[in-house]
Amino acid sequence: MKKFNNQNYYEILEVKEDASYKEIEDAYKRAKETYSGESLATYSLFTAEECKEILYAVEDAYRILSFSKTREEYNKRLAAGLSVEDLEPTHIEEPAKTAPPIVAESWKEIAPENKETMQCAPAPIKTAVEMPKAVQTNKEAESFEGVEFRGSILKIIRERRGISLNLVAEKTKININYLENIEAEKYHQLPAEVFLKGYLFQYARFLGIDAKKVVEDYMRFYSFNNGEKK
Amino acid sequence: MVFESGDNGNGRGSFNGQIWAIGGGKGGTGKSLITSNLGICLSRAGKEVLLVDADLGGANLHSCLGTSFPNVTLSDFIRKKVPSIKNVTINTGIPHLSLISGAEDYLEVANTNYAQKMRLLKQLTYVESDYILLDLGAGTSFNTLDFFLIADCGIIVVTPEPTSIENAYRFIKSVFYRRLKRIVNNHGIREIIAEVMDRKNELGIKTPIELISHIEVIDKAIGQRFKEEVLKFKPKLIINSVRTRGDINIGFSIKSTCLKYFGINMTYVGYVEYDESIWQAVRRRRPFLLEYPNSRPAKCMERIAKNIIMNKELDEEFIL
Repeated sequence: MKKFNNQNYYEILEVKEDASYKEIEDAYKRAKETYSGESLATYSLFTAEECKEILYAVEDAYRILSFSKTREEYNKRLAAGLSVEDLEPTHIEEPAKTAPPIVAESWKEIAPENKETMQCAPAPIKTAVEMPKAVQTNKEAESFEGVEFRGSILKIIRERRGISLNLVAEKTKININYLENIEAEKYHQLPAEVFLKGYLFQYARFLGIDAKKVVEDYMRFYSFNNGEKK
Repeated sequence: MVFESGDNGNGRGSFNGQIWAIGGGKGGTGKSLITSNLGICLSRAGKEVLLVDADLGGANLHSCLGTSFPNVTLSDFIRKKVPSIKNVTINTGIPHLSLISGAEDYLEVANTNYAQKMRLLKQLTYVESDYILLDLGAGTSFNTLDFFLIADCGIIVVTPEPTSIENAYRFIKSVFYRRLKRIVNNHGIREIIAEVMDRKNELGIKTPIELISHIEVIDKAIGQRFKEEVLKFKPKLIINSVRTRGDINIGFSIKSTCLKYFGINMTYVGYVEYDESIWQAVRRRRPFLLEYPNSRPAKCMERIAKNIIMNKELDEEFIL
């Protein structure tokens, strides 16, 4: 059960995934009737603004699902486990706009710089003892230079900034389960590569760290581990 | 069924039938009319049916069936004036259809607690029947909500007018939150649910969907449990007194709105057309299904009964 703006197109139109084109057509007409006029059924629960939002979603859903070609493409993406927001392809080559890559000299400097993404004061800097091995063994543990951005590192960076996973999910619109799996390095429970890259990019950008490097590093771990399985 | 899970051990003894509860918030939407005619539909199919007037203070089911005000009512049983529930069960004169009437002075029963209601319900199952139909009162008193929740099948009757629909939503919300409250012992979470019942609550939680995500953060297991409850909660919807095709479509719109707002998937089982013959029958205190068995409203009722039994949705192809 999801809020309507997190639903997939089938859920928005309230049809089954194997719905016929007629069923999609009917559902579309019905949704238009329900959410466009001043329906007796909606006014006491949804504001006019919310109805409009639903209508937009309904239009999007109908546009995609009413043509076999776009529907097939969408089904593929759906099977790969992406949410509606990700329908537009994510261009990971695109340079970060909101947060340029930061090459920090120390962890200490990073935290206060990112006030706009922080919800509360950064957690006190932990001692090296608490750091996972990857960082401990690194001579420049205090800097991002030479740090390999794997899931556990991303988690530490996030926690140091006092940012909850919920907030990341909310702001980036990435499913929280994926974020959890990314951090926990559950490589076999992650979405298809192309989407994973998009998520990593967004997540890194939100944390204000070098998104390109995060994708590069993470994908190295990812393919290493996936290769091992085979 | 309203709630399909684990309700088998609820002390219904050897009763293998089904309990249907007919509610919907607003008075005057035709709950008693629909209950009585639904009962007749079932009885005509050869089923033993017991109608129970659970409308507190506004009992009038007997009038819909054309029986005079009964000498014995449910309150005689509750006050232990008679030893057995069978003593207050009266014959309606219609084959296979019996009635337990609520009394006009029924109000003190309004304070019965949950355990008492369960006991009463268990007693009802001692009357041999295939279907027990509870005609619930208007409003969202705990009594009404609890009977609705205990039933295997909760049916909401709405007329295509703003006040009726608003009340139906309020009813659905109240029923649902009461159910959630009953399944958790966690005091903090119960407090949150109580708080959320107020639309202007400080938490800013407006919908059950938001409530559940909020609870999930506090306690993942309970959040999960609540999600399951939402999926299981499937009330049936009947639109009464429809005059236009647009009125019929309001049923689909209500269903969609409930799904998008509450996350609750109602089954729109059918509508009853407005027809002069209904009011003529009502004035004569005769069920329209018997007075005008070939009328369009009678056909509508039959289809509703069928859809409820088959657990099917109103099929748009067959709208009369």
